[in-house]
Amino acid sequence: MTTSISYLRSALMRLRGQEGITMIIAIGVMFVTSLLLVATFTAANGEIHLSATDTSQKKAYYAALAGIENYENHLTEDGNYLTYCTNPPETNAALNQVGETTHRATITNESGESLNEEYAIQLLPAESAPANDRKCDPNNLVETMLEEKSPGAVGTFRIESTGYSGNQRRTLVADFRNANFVSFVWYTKYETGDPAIYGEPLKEKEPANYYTECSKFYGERPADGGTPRRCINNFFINGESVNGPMHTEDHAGVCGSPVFGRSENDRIEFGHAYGKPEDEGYSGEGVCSEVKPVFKGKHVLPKEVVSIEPPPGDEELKHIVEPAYEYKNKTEIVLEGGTMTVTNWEENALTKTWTSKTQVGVAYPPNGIIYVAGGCSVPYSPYGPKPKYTEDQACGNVYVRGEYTNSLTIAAENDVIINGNLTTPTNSAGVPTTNALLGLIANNFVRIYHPVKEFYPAKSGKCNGSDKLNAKGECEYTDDAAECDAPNGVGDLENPKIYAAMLAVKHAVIVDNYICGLPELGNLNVYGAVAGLYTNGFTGEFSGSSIIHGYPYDANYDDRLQVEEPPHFLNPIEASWFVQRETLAANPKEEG
Amino acid sequence: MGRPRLSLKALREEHGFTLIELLVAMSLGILVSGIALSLLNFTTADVTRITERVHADQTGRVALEKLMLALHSSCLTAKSDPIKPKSTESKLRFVSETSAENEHGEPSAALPSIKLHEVVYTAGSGKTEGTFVEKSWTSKGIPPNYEFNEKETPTQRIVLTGVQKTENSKKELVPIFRYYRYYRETDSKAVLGELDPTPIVSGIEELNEKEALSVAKVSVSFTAVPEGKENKLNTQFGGGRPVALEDSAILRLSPSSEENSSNLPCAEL
Repeated sequence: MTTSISYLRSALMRLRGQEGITMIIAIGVMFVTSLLLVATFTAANGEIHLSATDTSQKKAYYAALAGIENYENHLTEDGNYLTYCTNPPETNAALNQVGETTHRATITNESGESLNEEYAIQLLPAESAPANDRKCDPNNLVETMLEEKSPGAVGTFRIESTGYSGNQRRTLVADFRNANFVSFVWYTKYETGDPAIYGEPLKEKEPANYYTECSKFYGERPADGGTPRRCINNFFINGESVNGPMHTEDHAGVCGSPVFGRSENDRIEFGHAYGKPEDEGYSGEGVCSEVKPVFKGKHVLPKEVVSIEPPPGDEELKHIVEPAYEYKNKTEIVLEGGTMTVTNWEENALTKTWTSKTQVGVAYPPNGIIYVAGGCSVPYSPYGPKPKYTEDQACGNVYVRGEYTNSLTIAAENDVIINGNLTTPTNSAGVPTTNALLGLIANNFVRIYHPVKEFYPAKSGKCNGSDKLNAKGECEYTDDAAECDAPNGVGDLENPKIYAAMLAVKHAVIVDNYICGLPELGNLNVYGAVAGLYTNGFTGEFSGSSIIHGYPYDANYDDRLQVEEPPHFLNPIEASWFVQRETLAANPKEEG
Repeated sequence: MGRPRLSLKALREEHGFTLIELLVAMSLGILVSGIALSLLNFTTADVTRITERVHADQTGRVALEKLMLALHSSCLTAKSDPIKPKSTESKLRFVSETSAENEHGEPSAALPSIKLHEVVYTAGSGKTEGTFVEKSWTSKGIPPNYEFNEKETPTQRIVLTGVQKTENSKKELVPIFRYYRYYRETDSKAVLGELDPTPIVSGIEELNEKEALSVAKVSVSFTAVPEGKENKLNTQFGGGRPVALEDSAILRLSPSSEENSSNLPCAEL
């Protein structure tokens, strides 16, 4: 018992003792541990800081991207969103005038909780905006926001979106552009002939609406045919190719294997579904049995096509043209590089005679617009044509040819008549080497000058169609939609080259006398864009895949038109906007 | 309360530690000191390692971020082809440009010229470090038909040194640049609107023109290694230094479409 007590006492004493190396070991372990902790902290601090900065930078970038997508979304819902500037009907917390970022939108998660990320949108004024109005001005929207002079950006507007996360910022600039008439090498609303191609209606036989009823989509308009034939549709035929993006609001007629587009980047949009929702937008239209189009471009089904409606007229250009560049009556413009020769017809009020006045070395208008005012009392017919080239002085027609080196838009209240090559400096491959773009806008027709002989020898004493045989044994060419035998006339254009974007707002792009004359004049070479309310296909007449009259098309899209357009080129009534370019930019200097 | 009583006798005593005790104490002291010094040495080395790692991380991330930002500025026109042919797993060729400031201090509207960039990865060998070198050419021509004369002397700069391919969990080397496109209707098991996870090219293959036109995503993956330490990648102390970095850029101006669409790069629809 005594031994046990003594042992326990001894053990307790040892436990209570403070001598030994326990403390040394403990201090050593603590020292090393603290060193490791310092090292770990150093590592963690460095890496956490880098990771946090990296994460914040990414968040800021995506916040900036969210700002652009937000604006694009609003534009998709309301094509006029830009017109509100910073005061849209539904408040947008992120909208700022240029130079401000005080208004910011907070990004939230699905539950509405803030993610501590924000974005601010600045509406950037056009570089061509007036110096005293450098902000989005709803009362002067076009001048303040739409780029008019910057090469590669004409017709666009820009926003700047800055994303914020932590103390990081990222800024993106997006250029918005709308799908418009110059976005396609071929644009039409109706793929049927303009009512003018039927000649003068024989009123006693045909009701007044016999041809105007053709102004409907395929399946809704009367079928091609009847006596006299009406609603003649256009067909893309074997051997033809559409060398660029294409858009028609209508159904397309196809015979054989025409080629649509050049690459996947060319959208081929047939906008009218006929009969069934999954309609492909083209068919043989009951005329052609073999329908095997080749789509090099991206065929877009009617259900996916966004409608592009032409404006009611080109009169809006009349309001922006500078007085010195508004002409009245027949006008002829010869482009000579950076200047032009302008001949304008005037009527002597006393003698009722027409005289022309020519100005040489006229500078291009500063805002790039020339407008020829005046309607025409004689309805146009391509047969003859009517009115004759020598009898249209009172019409608001503009004749144009020559070479241009600056951008220009020539518009006419009546017709634009191309009476010679329209060229611009190009390389050996025929690709333009400058930024100069030419726009031709006609309220009614954009026409290719193609005179034929009024009198021509009869064949075996007979004339074709309704052409009259006169006492001299000659045929006299008359206005008739039927095929004619009149030969090509003096001054016909051989292999005409047209570097331009053409738009016929209420009618079509057409060749005068397209059903006359031997096909010995080569191709109608267009490098640009061709747009009309009715089909632009009436440039010649085919028998099978062989041209028998007029010109076959050789139309190629000018890719420069993807990024800019001729000055003040007309836009569709309601255009869908899209982001054309997205680049990083320096962060705003002034912070709110 | 007791108080220790110091006796003169005890103070006069001369006996102390025995030699054995002293030797044991010294041995223990040396051992403990040795352990402590070793740990101190290890810790100091680790701090250096960490510092180098942070440096590699920092330089690597900055280089990657710059590359990503350049790729994010490669949709210079709608329907353009940001990635150029002849790109490979070790060579990325793309166009890019940022908006310069105009006279009003705002981003300029026009891009009269853009740049073709060629970022080339050269693997290290011997004492030579792996590098990213960037060459760039300024365009000529009219937008959007930008042209590049690659016969001209490019502007050249070293983007990053100490670069290696990253090893994945299967111990396979991950290509530096990988290119992806969206599924097409003609693909087997196509999921329209989604990116095909199989890279377009592999090995030393070059992107041809058609393939380059379809690239809608680029992934960049590499390991940043402190300068002069590449060859110590697998040593005990070098193993923690390299930093594996990866990022990717989707080259679209709008979300992809699940509909009948090709989802080309920089397409607006």
